[in-house]
Amino acid sequence: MLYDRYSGKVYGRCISLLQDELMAQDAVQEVFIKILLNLSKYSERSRFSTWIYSITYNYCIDHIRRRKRRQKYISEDDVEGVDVAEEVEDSEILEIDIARLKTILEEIPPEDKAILLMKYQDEMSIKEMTEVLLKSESAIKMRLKRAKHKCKRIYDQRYLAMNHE
Amino acid sequence: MNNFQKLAEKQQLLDRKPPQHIKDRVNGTMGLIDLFGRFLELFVPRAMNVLTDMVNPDHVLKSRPAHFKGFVDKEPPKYPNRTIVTPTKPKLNHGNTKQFDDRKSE
Repeated sequence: MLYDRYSGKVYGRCISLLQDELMAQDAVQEVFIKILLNLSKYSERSRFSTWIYSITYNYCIDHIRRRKRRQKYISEDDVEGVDVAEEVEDSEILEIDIARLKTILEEIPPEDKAILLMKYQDEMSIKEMTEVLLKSESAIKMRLKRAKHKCKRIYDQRYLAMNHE
Repeated sequence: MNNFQKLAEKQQLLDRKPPQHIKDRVNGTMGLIDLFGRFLELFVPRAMNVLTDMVNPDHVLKSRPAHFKGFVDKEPPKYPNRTIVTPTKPKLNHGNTKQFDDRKSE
């Protein structure tokens, strides 16, 4: 019953984060086994769906990190080192065309992608994100700010430059 | 619906069911875990008892007195008329001795 109810949503999140259907299928299996084994640890402080998404997101991000460690992609310093002096408005992100958005989401680091999906696709509140990612509110806000900034920067580099030409 | 949700809808990610075999795999794995749990529940306490008995023989009497009821608490039974017989060394090939002797006499 639990599987039938949540497997679709979990599978969707896994595909969008892992970008690979087979890996996403394995992830669904692992996530559901984790959920079933840890059911007793669920505290009713957060919604059940939030708890399930937290397991899903954390599994996927861990998986990507492990893969990244093997393949040596962008280092964490590159992600943390982004200058975020100016605030990027939500409207700027939400106005991006979906085809371009897809490309941008493929280019940004998985942690940033996850937080953007939580904010805009799942429409989670900051409080829910703190429960999912087990970070403080200020840390979540900072990560979100960085993620939006990265998104905007890639958009500007790729598409604004193209428009000027 | 914002552009993120439209993108997810376009990619059919909003509520896409995983293939049936994933459900079977989850059920199978949970079944195995359950079986393994039952096995541990059944055998670990017994194995622990056996190991503790091996390390500390007093544990046998302390942990399972019910097994020794009437044996530990009471005096051992006495048999005053019984004589203690010291076992003697058995004779080997007792049945065949005569046969060998017969052959010799022939």
